[in-house]
Amino acid sequence: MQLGSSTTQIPDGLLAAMTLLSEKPHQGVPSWNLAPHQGIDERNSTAALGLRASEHLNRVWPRYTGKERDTESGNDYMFARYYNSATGRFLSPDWDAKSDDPVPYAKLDDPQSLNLYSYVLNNPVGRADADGHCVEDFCIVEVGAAIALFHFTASPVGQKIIHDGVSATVSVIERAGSSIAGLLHPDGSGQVPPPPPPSVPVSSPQGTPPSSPTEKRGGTGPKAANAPGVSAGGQATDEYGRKRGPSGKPQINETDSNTREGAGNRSLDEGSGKVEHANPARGKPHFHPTDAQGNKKPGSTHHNYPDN
Amino acid sequence: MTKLWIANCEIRVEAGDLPSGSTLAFSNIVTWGDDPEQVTEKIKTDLARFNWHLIACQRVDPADDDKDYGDELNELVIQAQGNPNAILLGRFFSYRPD
Repeated sequence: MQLGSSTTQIPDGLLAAMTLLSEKPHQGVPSWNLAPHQGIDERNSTAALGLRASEHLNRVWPRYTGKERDTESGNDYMFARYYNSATGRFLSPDWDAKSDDPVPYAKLDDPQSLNLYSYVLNNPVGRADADGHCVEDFCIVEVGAAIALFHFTASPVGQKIIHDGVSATVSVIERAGSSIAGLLHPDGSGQVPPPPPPSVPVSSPQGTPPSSPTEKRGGTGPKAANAPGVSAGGQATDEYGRKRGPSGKPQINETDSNTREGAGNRSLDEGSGKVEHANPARGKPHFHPTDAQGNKKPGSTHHNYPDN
Repeated sequence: MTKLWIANCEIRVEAGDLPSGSTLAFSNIVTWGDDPEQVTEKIKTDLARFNWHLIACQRVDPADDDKDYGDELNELVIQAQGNPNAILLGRFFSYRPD
């Protein structure tokens, strides 16, 4: 089915689940997290009664890592817990009510993960937390698998396999019942056939799903941890060593000139090592282009320092 | 022999790619290559990925460790020395056509 101008195909089961989630942002899944990347019209991404998600619970539009910030408390809503960016700590420990493990989300070989209040192992520059429980590196597989399973079970193919599986189970029970009944008769065989294998291969009909919820937002470029290179300032670069902007084109610094000649001369001066040096020796302090030895470039223009 | 080069090139970019709104600029590009012709061709191919057009390279000179190219270009040279794939674009000195 199609929504708005989008051509994205969305299974009915998935749409129903998304609608349900979008109407209950307090359950931990804000509607904005689902809508724009699924090709859904914005009208359908709003919560119940037509209110935008940002108008719920005094939350504002996504902050760093895409999470919402509560305007009253200043805390970030990380789904499982609230996070205080001023202290760099969660406000509640990382517990799982369904688990007896005192540190259910920790990796025992990483002591940093044993701190139940810490955020992304105290490395917010290189890592992100998708749901208030998981450091992205740890949870990328399980979150991706959960999303893939969600997509699959909601799809027509998934529904068919589930239906076939249920039918096969019922069939086995019926056959078992017949066999038991046959055992009660002297001429019954009593053999129970194995359940038939699924007739459709298990794969996602929607293609490869995003590996984490943070990837669904997109447009942020590669993270430094996963990028081919890292600049001196810690920013992700491509394999050629260039920083890329959101458009995918290189980030560039610019100096605008009035004339082509001026722009060409400035670039040639830079490329030929003719650095401008200050020379306050004569008259009003000024500077002018000099050659590699520091001598004044013949015929060059003097530049006065701005008046203070 | 492969060397590190600084190519002073005139480039035409797509509208909106530069903050000033200009589409024409000169830039010093740092990359590895065997000779100026190869470097020029390499830059031309690379710029085409972004729908940018290399108009011409005015000068293509080997990077000189003894020269002071200014903070920005010096940093690019140092960065390129550690990356054999480097094609680093320096500051764009843009202008508007007359």
